[in-house]
Amino acid sequence: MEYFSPVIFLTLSQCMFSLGDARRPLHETAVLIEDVVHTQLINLLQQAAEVSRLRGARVISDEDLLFLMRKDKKKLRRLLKYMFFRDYKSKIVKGIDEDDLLEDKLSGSSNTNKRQKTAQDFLNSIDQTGELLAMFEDDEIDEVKQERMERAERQTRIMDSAQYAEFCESRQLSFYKKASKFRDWLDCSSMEIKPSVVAMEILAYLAYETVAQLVDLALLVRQDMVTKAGDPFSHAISATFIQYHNSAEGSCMKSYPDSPENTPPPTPTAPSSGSQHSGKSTSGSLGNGQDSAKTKQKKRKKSPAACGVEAHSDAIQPCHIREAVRRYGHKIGPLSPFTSAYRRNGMAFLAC
Amino acid sequence: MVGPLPMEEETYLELYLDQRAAQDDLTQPRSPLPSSIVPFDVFMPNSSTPETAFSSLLEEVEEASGDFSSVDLSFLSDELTQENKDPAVARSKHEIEESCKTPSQPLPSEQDAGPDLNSRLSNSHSHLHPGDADSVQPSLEKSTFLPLASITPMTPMTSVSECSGTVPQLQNVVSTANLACKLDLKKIALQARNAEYNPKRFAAVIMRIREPRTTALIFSSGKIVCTGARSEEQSRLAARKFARVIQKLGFPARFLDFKIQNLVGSCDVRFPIRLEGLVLTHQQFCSYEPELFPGLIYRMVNPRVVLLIFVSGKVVLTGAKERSEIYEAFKNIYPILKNFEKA
Repeated sequence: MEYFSPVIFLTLSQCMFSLGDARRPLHETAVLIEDVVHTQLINLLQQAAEVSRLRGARVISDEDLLFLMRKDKKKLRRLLKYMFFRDYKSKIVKGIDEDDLLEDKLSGSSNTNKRQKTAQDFLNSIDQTGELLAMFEDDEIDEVKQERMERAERQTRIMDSAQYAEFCESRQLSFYKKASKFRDWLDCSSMEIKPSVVAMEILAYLAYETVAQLVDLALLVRQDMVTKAGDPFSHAISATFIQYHNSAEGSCMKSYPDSPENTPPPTPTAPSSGSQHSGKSTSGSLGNGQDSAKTKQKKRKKSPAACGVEAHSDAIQPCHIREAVRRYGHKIGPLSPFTSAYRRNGMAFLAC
Repeated sequence: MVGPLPMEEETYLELYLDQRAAQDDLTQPRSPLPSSIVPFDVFMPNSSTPETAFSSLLEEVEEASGDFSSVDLSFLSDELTQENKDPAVARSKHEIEESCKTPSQPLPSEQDAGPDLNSRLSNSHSHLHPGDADSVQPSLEKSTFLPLASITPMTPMTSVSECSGTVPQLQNVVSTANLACKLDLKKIALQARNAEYNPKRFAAVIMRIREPRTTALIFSSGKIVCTGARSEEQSRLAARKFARVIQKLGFPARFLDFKIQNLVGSCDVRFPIRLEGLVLTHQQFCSYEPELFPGLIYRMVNPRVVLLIFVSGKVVLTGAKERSEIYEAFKNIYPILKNFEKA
C-alpha cells in the first residue's frame, strides 16, 4: 500500500481506543479501518473536486464539502457544531494569552467566527426549503454524540488515574495535528484541484468521525453477537447475521468481498425489514436509508439496556467492522439512495 | 480579661513543649490567617505560654503549607474591606480546617506579614479565651478548642469538605482607556522607544513598558488597550504610564474612561479530574472536544465566567470584569470538580 503512513496508522489505532475499543486495538482491525477510511476519503475528495470544478473554483473549499453533506442533517449539524466550537475555542484562548491577542489583531481580526460565517452564508445560499438554516437554531441533543459521551464516561469510571491519563492522551489525538502527514496520506498532491486549509480541517474531522462511526457500529455488532437470555426477537435475526455468528470469528473472511463496497443482500428482504419494523430488535439492519440516524439511535438505545455490560475487554475484530459496513451499506427503503452521499459508485459514506 | 480555660491551657502547654524546637521558623512569612484577625486586635496580649504554643501550632499548619511565593498578595489592600471581612473570616475558618490537605494557604495575607503576625497571633489568641466570637484561631486545634460561635452572619457554606484550599490568581488583565486626542501614529513610532508600527498589517502602535511588564495597542483615535498586567492596579498604572509617554511626545493626552475589560485567573485544585463525567452531567454548560483542545470549556452563567478545566486539575478562568467574579466562579466550580475527582 503506497499510501501507508505509520504516523497516521498509529494515530488511528489510538483513536480507536479513545472511542471505545480495547486498550490495544487489534492490528488487523486497525488496518481494515484505515483502509475503509482512506477509500472513503479519497472518494469524497474526488466528488468534492468534481463539485469544485463545476463551480469553476481552483481550490476545494469547505463549502464544497458542506454541499456534499447537505443530505444528512444530523451529520451536517455535528460538523457545524465542531466548526463553531473551533471558532469559539480560538476566541477564548486568544483572550487568555496576550501574545495570542496581539497576533490575532495583527493578522487582521476577521478571524473571529470565520468558519461560522462562511458556513452560514453558504447554507443560506443553497437552502431552498429553509431546513438547513433551521439547523442553526435547532437545539436537539445529538444522540450519537450523547451515546459516545456515555460510553466514554462508563469507560473512564473504572480506570485508575494512570490509565485515565493514557486515555486522555489518546483522546487528544487528531488527524488535524498531523496535517502534512494527513495530506500525504490522502495523496493530495496528485490531484488537480487541491483542498483549502479549512477544507483540510473538515477532512481531518471527517476522518475522525468515520473512525468513530465504525467503532460505534462495530461495538453494536459485537453486542448483537452475544446471545442474550430473554431477548424476544432472536428469531427475527437475519440469516446473514446467523451465518456470521455461527462461523468462527477468525473465518468470517471467507464469504466477504472487498470491505467498502456495497454487497447485494444475499437474503430475502423479508426478515430484515421485519426486524427493522419491530423497532425493538437488538439486531437486524442498522441505520440505513432515510431514518439512518434515527433508527440507529433507537436501536442503540435499546441494546445497552437490554443486554447489560458490554464486553469491554475484547478488542474489536475485523469481522465486526465488515459486518458493520455491510449493514450500513445495505439499502433499505425507497428513499435511501437520496439521503446520503450516494453517488455513482453507490458507496455509502459513513461520515456524511 | 478572663483567664484561659484550664483545658485549653493544658493543650497549649503540651503543644508548646512539643514544638519547642521548631520555633525558629516563626520568622518566615506566616500563614495568611492573622490578617483576618486584623479587625479584632483590640485585646491585650496574654501570657507567653499560650502564645508561643499557638505560634507553634500555626507553624505546624505552616509546615503543611508550601511555598508562599506563588500566592498573589497584591490584591489584598482592596479586597478585605468592611463588607468582605465577615464572609472571609467564615470562609477562612472552614478553610483552615481543610488546609492541612492542601499546601497553599487559603487566606490572603499581607505582604509584610512576617514580624507582625506573631503579635497579631498573640492578640487574637488571647481573645479566644473569653470565648469571644469572631475568632478563627481555635479551629486550628481541631479537636480541643471550644467551637466559638460566630456572631456575624456568614455566607452559608454547603459543607466544610467542599471548600477548596486555593484561591485563583490573576494572570492577565486587559483594560482600555481613552486619551481623548487624535494621535499621529507614525510620529509616535519614530520617537518612542519600544514601539512597533506596521500600518500595512495593523492600524495601531504596539508599545511595551517594563514596569509593570505590559503591552499597549495605541490607536490613532486616542484609545488604548493595555494587556499583560497582573492586577487591576498594575493595569491602571501601566495605562497611565503609556498615557504619560504619549504626553511627553507632545500630544495633549488625558486619561479618561479607564475600564477593565477582562480578567484572567488561574489555579490548581491539585487532583486529577474526570472530564468525561463532568461533560455528561453538565452538558448545557460544557463543551469538550479533546482532539481540538485538551481542556473542557465550562460556560458558567452566574457569574458570567468561562472556565477552562484540564485533566491535571488546573483551572483557568476568564471573561470576568471584576475580581470577585473570578473568586465566585471558582467557589462555585470547586464542589463540582471535587465530585469528579479521579482517585
